Amino acid sequence: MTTTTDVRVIRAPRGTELRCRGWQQEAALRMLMNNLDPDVAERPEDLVVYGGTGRAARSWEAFDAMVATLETLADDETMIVQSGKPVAVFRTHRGAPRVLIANSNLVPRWATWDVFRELERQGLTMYGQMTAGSWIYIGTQGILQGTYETFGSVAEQNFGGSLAGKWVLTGGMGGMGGAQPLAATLNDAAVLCVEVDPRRIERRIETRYCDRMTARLDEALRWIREATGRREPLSVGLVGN
Amino acid sequence: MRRGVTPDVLTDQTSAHDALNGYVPTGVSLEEAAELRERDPQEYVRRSMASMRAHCEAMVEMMRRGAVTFDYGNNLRGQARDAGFDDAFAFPGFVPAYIRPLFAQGKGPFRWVALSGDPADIYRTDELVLELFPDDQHLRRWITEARAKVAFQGLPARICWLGQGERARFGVALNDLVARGELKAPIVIGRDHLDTGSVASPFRETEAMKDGSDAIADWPILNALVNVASGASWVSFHHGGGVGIGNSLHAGQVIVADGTPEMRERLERVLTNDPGMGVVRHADAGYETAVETAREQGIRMPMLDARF
Repeated sequence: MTTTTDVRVIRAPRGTELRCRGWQQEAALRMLMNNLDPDVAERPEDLVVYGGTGRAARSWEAFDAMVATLETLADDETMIVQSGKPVAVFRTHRGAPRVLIANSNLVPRWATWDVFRELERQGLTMYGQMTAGSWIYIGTQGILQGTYETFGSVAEQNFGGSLAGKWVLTGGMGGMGGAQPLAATLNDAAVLCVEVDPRRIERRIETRYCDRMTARLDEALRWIREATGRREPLSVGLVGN
Repeated sequence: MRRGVTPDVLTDQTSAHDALNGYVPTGVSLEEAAELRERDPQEYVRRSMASMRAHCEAMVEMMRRGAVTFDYGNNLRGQARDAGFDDAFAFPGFVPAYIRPLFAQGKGPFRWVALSGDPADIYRTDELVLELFPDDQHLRRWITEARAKVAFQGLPARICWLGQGERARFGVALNDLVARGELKAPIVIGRDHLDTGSVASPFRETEAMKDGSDAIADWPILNALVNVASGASWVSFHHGGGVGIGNSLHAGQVIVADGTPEMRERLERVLTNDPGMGVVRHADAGYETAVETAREQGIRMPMLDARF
């Protein structure tokens, strides 16, 4: 039996060979596993997918039980998951969902972090975040896209649909904020993003999310002025605070 | 500020929600910050809070000089108000200002994943998006650039925002691609719980609703129930999410386009009714775009005509 101390590397199967009795069940199996892929999850060894403690399953025992259940689940059955643990399989019908999931729910009067953490410690619940415990997290692409839509909406409502020739000033290039430079240039803006940690800017330059980097404000402002003058998209990471 | 320059657009995504481990006070280097955090956490938080107040004051001043200014969900305004800046909420949050107009049309973060594991399957679906919505330049730009610049993590996936009517059309077309054998394996279609009709979250998605219904949590429960009734492949109902325990309730659905006629019917139903709940939620709250969308898309709301 596997224990939690073993280092397990989970990766969804590829291709057309099925481990389950149909594609509906196979899809749930692959997406559960994909959420724990080391390229996708923040801390797969702890079953944490993203967002601090958002988990795909309550424990490795629960993970193994869900995999085994999905592998044998019939086309007219539904697996019931209570905060990351499979608690039942019911006969339903072909047109019904194959999996129903409730995660982290508490009665309102008890809905505090203190109560939640105590119940989590006792093994009675887990934190499901949004797409961690529901097996549809796809990595950081969603953050870039959401930021792209936000800047697009800013352009639509204030500048007739485009940020060409406009200067966007913002701060923060961490996990969420790091998408801002590319999301803004995709809307044709010149964007200046202030970040205290130069390594974070360097990382975004390497992945082509950000064009240029400087620690000198005057230089940054000059680049921005030139780009807006030519109505060209440009992203500048400014090291500073 | 001192240079007298004002940006056209102003926002912030520093880790202002966390005054100790996230935000770095002004005038302090990274190394000094780490040292101070260790030696005197209380002093660190005091300086962080004072710094956030000044940060927010500068943003309000730039807004008064003409910058389009908004909060990007990091609670900078809340922290600045706690630090004594009464005018911290002079600029709006990003959801009421910029996301809600999209939500009102049923638009939200729609995503799909290639179960084959082959990137070529996603590239074919990229083309399908452009074939189905040829006039949407904003969408075209995204799909083209995402293909060039976004690296896949795990199974290949794509995301884009589609609205009421568009999601169902695209889902059915994906199922047809699978049925015709143009893709190597079925496609999984899902979405974030952060979507138009699937979340009650007064600090983020439902901040400052027009009718004051920010904390009403019937909507995400109805969303989950509707998705079960419509035949999604799996349905989830969660608490907490990105804003924490006590602050939000939200629902998710995933549906598998496996190429069968049965799933074609279910896709059409689920991808109509799931965003449909969002259109209804916003129309009920009095958003005119949502009312128009409901009428255009033929969504029946028994009490709509009585109110508008």
